Amino acid sequence: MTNTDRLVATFASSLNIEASQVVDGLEYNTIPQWDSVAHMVLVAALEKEFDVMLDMDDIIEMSSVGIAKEILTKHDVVF
Amino acid sequence: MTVIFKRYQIEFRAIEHDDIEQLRQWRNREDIRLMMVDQSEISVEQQQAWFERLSTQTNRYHFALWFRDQLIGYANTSLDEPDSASTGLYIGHEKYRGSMLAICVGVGLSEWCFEQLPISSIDAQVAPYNQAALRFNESLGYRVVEQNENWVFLSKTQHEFEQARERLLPMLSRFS
Repeated sequence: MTNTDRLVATFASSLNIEASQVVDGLEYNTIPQWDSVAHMVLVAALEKEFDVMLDMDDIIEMSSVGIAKEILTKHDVVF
Repeated sequence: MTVIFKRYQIEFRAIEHDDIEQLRQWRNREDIRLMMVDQSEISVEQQQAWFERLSTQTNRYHFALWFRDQLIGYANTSLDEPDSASTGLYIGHEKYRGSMLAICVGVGLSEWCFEQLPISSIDAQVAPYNQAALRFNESLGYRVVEQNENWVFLSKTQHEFEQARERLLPMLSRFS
C-alpha cells in the first residue's frame, strides 16, 4: 500500500466519504462531511496513520487533500 | 484594546467602534445571517445604535474575537434565564471560516461562562437544517432538549461540557 493509498483511505474513513471523492482538489468545508468536527477526527487519524504530530498552523492550513499532502511531506512523508 | 480573556490563542476583546463595520458586513453575509435567530440584514445605523447600547447592558456580554492580531469574528453570552446562559458566535474572517478556531472559541467561551457566571447550564438554539452547527454543538457537549419545525433547542451542564472538552483536549492542546 502506497502512502497515497493510505492517505486516501484515511480521508475516506475519517470523513465517511467514498475513496473516489478523495482527490487533491477536494477542499475543506466544500462538502458537508468535511466540517470542523470531522476535521479534528481527520487530523487525529492522519497523525496516527503517518506517526506525525501536526502543529496549530498545519491544522488550520490543511484546507484540501493536496495541501494535506504538502504538510505531510514537510513531516517527511513521501508521496 | 481591552482583552477580557484569552483561551486557545483566541482573544475575547471588548468591541470597539473600529470593529463594528467589519462585524456588520460579516453578520449580513447570507451564510452567517441565515443561521441566526434574527435573520434580518443590519444597517449601518442599526449597528451604530447596537454599539451604543452595549455599555448599558448588564446581562449580555459581547466579544470581538481576535486571532494573531486580526479580527476574526464575534461571540456573545446572554443571561436571560436565572440559572442558564445562552451563547452565540460566528467566525467571519474568510481564512478561518469553519476552521478549528470555531471550536477553540466555543470551548473557551463555555469555560468562561461556567467560571464567571452564576449558571448551571448553557443553552443554544440551532435551525434544524443546520447540520454543521448541530454537529458542532454536540461536539461541545450540548444535547437536544426540545425540537420543533423551526428550531432545535440544546443545553449542556458543566459536567457535560467538561466530558466533551476532555475528548477535544488532544487537539485543543495544539492551540494552547
